[in-house]
Parts: sequence; structure tokens; C-alpha cells
Amino acid sequence: MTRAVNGQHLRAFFWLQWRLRVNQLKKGGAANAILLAIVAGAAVLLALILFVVFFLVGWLSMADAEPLVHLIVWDALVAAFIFFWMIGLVTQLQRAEALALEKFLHLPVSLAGVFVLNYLSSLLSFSLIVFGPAMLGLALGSVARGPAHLATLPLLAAFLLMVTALTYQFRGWLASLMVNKRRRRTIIVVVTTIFILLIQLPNLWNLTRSRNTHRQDELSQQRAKEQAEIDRALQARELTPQQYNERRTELTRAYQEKRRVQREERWRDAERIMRIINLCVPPGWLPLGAAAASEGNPLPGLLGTLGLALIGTASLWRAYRTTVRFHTGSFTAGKQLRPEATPIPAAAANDHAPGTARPAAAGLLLEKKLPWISEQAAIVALAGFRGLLRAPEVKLLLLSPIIMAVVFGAVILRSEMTPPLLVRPLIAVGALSMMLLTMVQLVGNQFGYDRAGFKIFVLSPARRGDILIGKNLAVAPMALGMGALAVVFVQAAYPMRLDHFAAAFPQMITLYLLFCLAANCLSILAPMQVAAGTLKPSHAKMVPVLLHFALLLLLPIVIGPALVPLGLEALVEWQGWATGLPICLALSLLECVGIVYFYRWLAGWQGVWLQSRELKILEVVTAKAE
Amino acid sequence: MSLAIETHRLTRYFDRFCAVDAIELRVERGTFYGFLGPNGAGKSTTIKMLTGLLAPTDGDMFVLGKDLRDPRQALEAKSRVGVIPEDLALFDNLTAREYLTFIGRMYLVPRDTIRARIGELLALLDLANEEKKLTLEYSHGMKKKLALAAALLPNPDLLFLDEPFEGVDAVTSRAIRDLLTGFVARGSTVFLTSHVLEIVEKLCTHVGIIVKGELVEQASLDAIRQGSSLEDRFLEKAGADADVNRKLTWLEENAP
Repeated sequence: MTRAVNGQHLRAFFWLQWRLRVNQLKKGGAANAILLAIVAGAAVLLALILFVVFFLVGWLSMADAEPLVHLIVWDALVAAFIFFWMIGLVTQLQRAEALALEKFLHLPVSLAGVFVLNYLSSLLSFSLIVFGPAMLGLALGSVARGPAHLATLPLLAAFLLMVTALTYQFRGWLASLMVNKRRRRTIIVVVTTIFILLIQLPNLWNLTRSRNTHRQDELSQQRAKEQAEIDRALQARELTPQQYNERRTELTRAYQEKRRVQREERWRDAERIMRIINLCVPPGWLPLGAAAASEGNPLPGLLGTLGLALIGTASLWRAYRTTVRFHTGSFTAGKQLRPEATPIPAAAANDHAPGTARPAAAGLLLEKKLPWISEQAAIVALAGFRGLLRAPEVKLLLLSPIIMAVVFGAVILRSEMTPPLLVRPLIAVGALSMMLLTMVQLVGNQFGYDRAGFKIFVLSPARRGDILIGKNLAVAPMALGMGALAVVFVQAAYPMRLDHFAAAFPQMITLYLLFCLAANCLSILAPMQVAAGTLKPSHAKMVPVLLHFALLLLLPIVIGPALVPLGLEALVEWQGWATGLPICLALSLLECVGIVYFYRWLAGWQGVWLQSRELKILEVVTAKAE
Repeated sequence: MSLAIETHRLTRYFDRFCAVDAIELRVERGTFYGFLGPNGAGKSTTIKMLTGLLAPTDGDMFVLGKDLRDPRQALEAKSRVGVIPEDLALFDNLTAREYLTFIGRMYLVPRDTIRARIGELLALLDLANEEKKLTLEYSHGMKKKLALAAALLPNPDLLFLDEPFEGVDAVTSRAIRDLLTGFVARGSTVFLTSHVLEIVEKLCTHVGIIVKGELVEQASLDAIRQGSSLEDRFLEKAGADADVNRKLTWLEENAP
């Protein structure tokens, strides 16, 4: 009878993984293969170095260290491991298909066998290869100092089981949910967004903390007040210089003593908080156990081992149950199975038939006319806009300007600077440029996001210039909408002159059109394939990537003309020829009209260029992924 | 009779591999042309070149009298051609109705006409109940039907169909066959590739057979059959006789 899984299966499975990787490398070209080989070699070398370094740290440096030091070192290691592990998880999530059972179950392996193989293959990750040896080195180094640390070894094993099993369960659950393709992409976006926000949390916390530190350092304020008092007394000759020096030494000593007490209090508070957090969060049981072992108490470590192993085993069991339920078709993601929706009767369906035809609501947007542009440019714009609104990866992309606005906004609001009136419009232009910067990925590779859909443009009889105009207009509501918000935000933070504020809007259009012209060139010249549902170019070649970087670097030059009106107004005011006139507004309006005509003219030429290169682009964006 | 498709020494290389070798296609207007060949013979490469999805390495192509090498004429030809490409090329994030509206407007079809035709096509192809789903949620068969609807919507003079019946259920298959027969009867042209010889035999008036990149036969169906079946003639032209007679002795031994 065939066993669930045997050594031959395991070898075959690892061989398969290996061949897939090798073939993927071959496809990426020699430069890519060399680069990845260097990265892989560096990862192995790093793992060895980290093992040795942490072994020595455990053996020599932490021999007489306090338990708190053990706790901090282990916490840092665990946090770093989990951070990189999560990055790996999110990356895999974007790439992963649904549970690949159908690829294996027709072979002579059982469901349990496939499950085990899948789980084992999930362990082959960069974070485990690098941080596993580091944690092992630290544990072994500690063991070399005393047998109490022996409890750290099973604790480490249980910790790794818990993390890998829990994430495997999570991935399996998500993969089962993602059988529905529409939901799949939403899940990827939601998980990635949560991850990005989690990463940003320390940053925001740091901003708040430094603000509080700045405001709440009462000790320093009191010291400064006392210093000012004795300075005044010295000047008023109430103190002799000798008395002044003695008093100052006394104050310094008292201040340092208070500081020391404060530091110790904070340290104790930190230790208390850390211990509570470590106790409440299971990954913290490893540092807690290691710290207790350093005090010669192996019990917390053993209890931690038990707890972590239990969680790991339960997770694996749950993951297996999900796999079975998925396989047997009883997976419902926690909801009751619903009967199939009642089909619409033929008569009702025929209500849409000719004559009586009433378009579905969803179709209305795509039937709209847009002024001043051709029918084909209009439909490309409307369909593109509709598609962008529904693409979760684009929503994710739009999240970056919002995050930037929050981070930079917090920095700006915290600072107490008051920029001159003439500089404030520059801040608005800067904010707009930042918005555009985050869109290079999307607009600079617009055909890459069409994927196989680009074939429709190749097959279509539309002028290629119209296609470019339509595609640029599709992104415009998002780019200009966010740009307008940024300008309003800048106006709220640093009020501009009303005419400067008004000028920011035609400037925004100028900026966007100039940006589009450059991004169109990039899309035509350096298209990159983008895997479905992701933002990440796949199998990207070196030259297109460098060209995308080049646009990022050259963006200030590309959008430079938008600053000309402001520059001219500054010149007029500086020369004293006139002040307070809305020169910038008038010139910005004129420039905007000029740029619109220039854009239309150049987009036509870009269309001819696009037609001459469309087959090359098609080849790149529809290349089969592994 | 004028030609819907005409090629002169149409050739395509992939590196050193010659996928299509100087073929001379002649497809008359108003014919139902079946383009046959074994896997990897060059059928899809030819259809891709004729629809402008792939550039030829050498040779000339004329579709509806337009020279595809001239970018302006190529666009004119495309405005009168409908295509179901090999991998369908749909936009994932549009519903069926939205996608068809998009196609109709790209071909400058008036909006009222688009609306009317969409209703008819969705009903005929049994997609009316699914029109609100995004195309990414469609099964392969549904995607194929939608691609056919998109190809027909602009009311083209010439249809290029790459395996149009693959993955389509029997009821819809029958509807498509009737529809295509009517399409040809009014004087339009269909250029079709299919592996199902029975369908080709039922529908096509003319057949071309391509083997290893070379056009080995091109004539009316009756002329090709010469009293035999299309399958026999195809196997003969494709050089499959030796293969079908080959035996695997270990499979004929006793079961393990």
C-alpha cells in the first residue's frame, strides 16, 4: 500500500521546487541569475556569520549579563525574524495561487502527504535561513555557559514550530478564501495594507514620542530655570563667583542624580512593560524563557516550550482540517453554505433585449461622452478608470501618497517654521510632485498593467495617440483629486496668497500633463510585465528598471516648466517692478492652455511611436510567467 | 472573386526556428476557411500575423485588400475585422456588458446599436445572467463566448477565430455554428482554426493544411476530401500514418 509520504516523494518534491527556481532564474537572463546567486551566497554567508557572532555573544558577552539584557537581545532577534518572516509571507501571498492540491492529488500521494510536503516547503525561506542559525547560535552559546540554558533549545524549536505553523495555517485559510478570484485580490490588498500600516506604526509612534519628550522634559526645564536664576543672581551680585560655581556644581550634581533616578525608573518601567508584553504575546515566551534561564530558572522555558508546541501543533491541525475541508468542498470561510442564486428567468433576461433595452447601471459610466476628445480616447479613459477603481493593486498603490501625506504632514505640522509667502507655493508644487512620484510605477508602465488586455489595443482600429490620451485621462481623476487634496492641505498648514492658491490648480494640470508625456515615453520604451493582481514587475530586465529609476531622478526637470510662472513673479517682485499682482496665476493659466495643446500634439506623435513598438510591448507584457 | 486574405511568402522565425515558412494563403471573400494543422504547425503564429499581433519576419499580407505592412492601412483593416485570439485578451476588471461597450465604442459603433447588440449577443451566448460578473470570475468557456461576442459586435467583414469551440458547451456550440453559417451566407468571411475535424468538415467550404510551417494543401473542402474523409486526408498530409501504427509493446503485455 502506498504510504502517505515517503522519502522519494520528499526528494521529488524538493527537486521540483529546485527545478522551478532554476528555470525561473534561466528565464530572467544571465544578469538576473548572477545577481540572485550573489544574493543567495550572501544569505548563506550571512547566516554563518550570524551563527558565529551570536554564539560568541551568548557564550562570552552575555555570561554575566542581567536577565533584562537577555530579554532585550532575544526580543530584538525575535522581532527581526518575525519582521522578515512577515515580509516573506506578504510577498508569497501576492504570488501564491490557491492551494495547489490539484497539481499533486492525481499522483500517488495522500492528502496528508501533500499537506506535509507543502508545509515543509514553506520552511525554505530567506528569514529562516538567516535568522534560524542566529537564534540557534545564541542558544548554543548560552548553553555553553551553563546547563540551565539547555531549556532554551527546545524552546527555540517550539517557537519556530509555532511561527511556521501559525503562518502556514493563516496562509492556508487565506488561500482557501482566495479561491474566489475577486476576493483573492481584495485579501492580498487588505493583508498588504495592514502590514504596511503595522510597519509605519513605530514611525508614527516615534514622531509622537519625540514630540512628547520635547514637551515633557520638565527636568531639563527646571534645570534651565534654576541655572537662569543663579545667572541672574550672579549678575545682580547677590552671589559671588565662588558661590556661583559652588551653586552650579551643586545644581549639576542634583540634576544628574535626578536624571539617574529617572533613568532607573524608566528602565524598570521598560522592563516591567517588556515582561508583560512578552508574557501576553506567545512569540515573547522565547525571550522570557531565555531570560529566566539566565537566572538559573528553567521552568518558564519549559512551560513556554509546552505552550508554543501546543499552539504550533494546534495550528498545523487546524491547517490540515482546512485543507481537508477545502478538498472535500465543505470549506465555507465560517459562513453557511448558500444555495446557488436563482437564475434570472429568460423573460427577465430578455428585458435587456433590443428595443426595450435598458443598460445595466454598471454600463452607464462607459456610455458617457467626454468633451474635446475622440470617441475612442473617451472609451479608453472611461474603461481604464473603471478598471483602475476595481483593481485592488491600484488601490494599494494609491495608499502610498496617503501614507506619505500622513508622515510628511506630521513632520510639517510638528515643525515650527513659517516659510515666506513666496516659498509656500513651492511647497504645494513639492507636494504635487510627491504625488506624481508615487504614480511613476503605474503610469510609467501603463501597458504592463493591461497585461493580456493590451492585445485589445493592438487589435483595435483606434489611433494610438487616442489610446495614450485615454489612458492618461483614466488616471487623471485619481492623480488630480489627490493633488487637489494636497494643495488644500498645504493651504491649511501654510496659508498662501489667494492667487497663489488658485494658481496651484492650473499648475497641477500642467504638472500632470508633462508627467504623462514622460511616463508615456517610458511605457512605450521600457514596458515591464506585471503579474496579475500585483504591483510587482515580474522577470524585469535591467534596462527597463534603470529607465524607470531615471524617470524618478529626472522628474524635477520634466516638471520644471510648471515653476516658470512662479519664478517670473518672484523675479518681478525681486526687481521691485510690481508687487502683489497675480502674475503667477495669469501665467499659470496661459501655460496650462499651452501645455494642453502641446500635450495633444505630442501625444499624436507618441501614438505613432507606440504603433511602431506595440508588438514588442505586447511580447513583453504578455510573456508567460512561471 | 476578390480575396479576403492574401499572403506572399509569409515567413516567421523564432530565433532559428522557422514557425511559418513562406506560405501563400488565398482566402476568397464569402468563404468559411478552416486552417488545420498538428500542434505546433504554425496555425496560431499565422493567425497572429494576419491580425497584427505578431510581425512577420518576411513576406507580405493583405487583409480585405489592405496591406498590413502599412500602419495606416493596417488600422483600416482592423476596423473591419473581428478576432478571437488564442488567449482571449479580456480586461479582468470589467463586466461583460462593460467590456462589450468598450469594444463597440473602440470600433465607433453608435451607442444605441451597441446597447441593442449587447443584449442580443449576451442572450444568444447564454451570458445574460452573468453580465454583472467581472470577466476574471468567468470560466474559460464563458470567456470564450464573451470573446466571440466582442468579435461579432462591430459587425465585421472578416472573422479570425482561433479554436472558437474549445471549452464551449454543446448548446452554445450549436448556436455559434448557426450564427457563423449565417455570417458567411451573407457574404462575410470566417478564418478558423480548430482541432475538431468534424466541426471543420461540417462548417467549412475551404480548407488549408499547415504542417511544420509549410502550407501543404489549400483548396475547397470537396477537392481536398476527394471522396475520402477529411480526417484521413488530414492524417495523410500531416504525415501521421507512421505514428498511428507505432506500438508500445510494454503496454500490450499483461497488466501489472
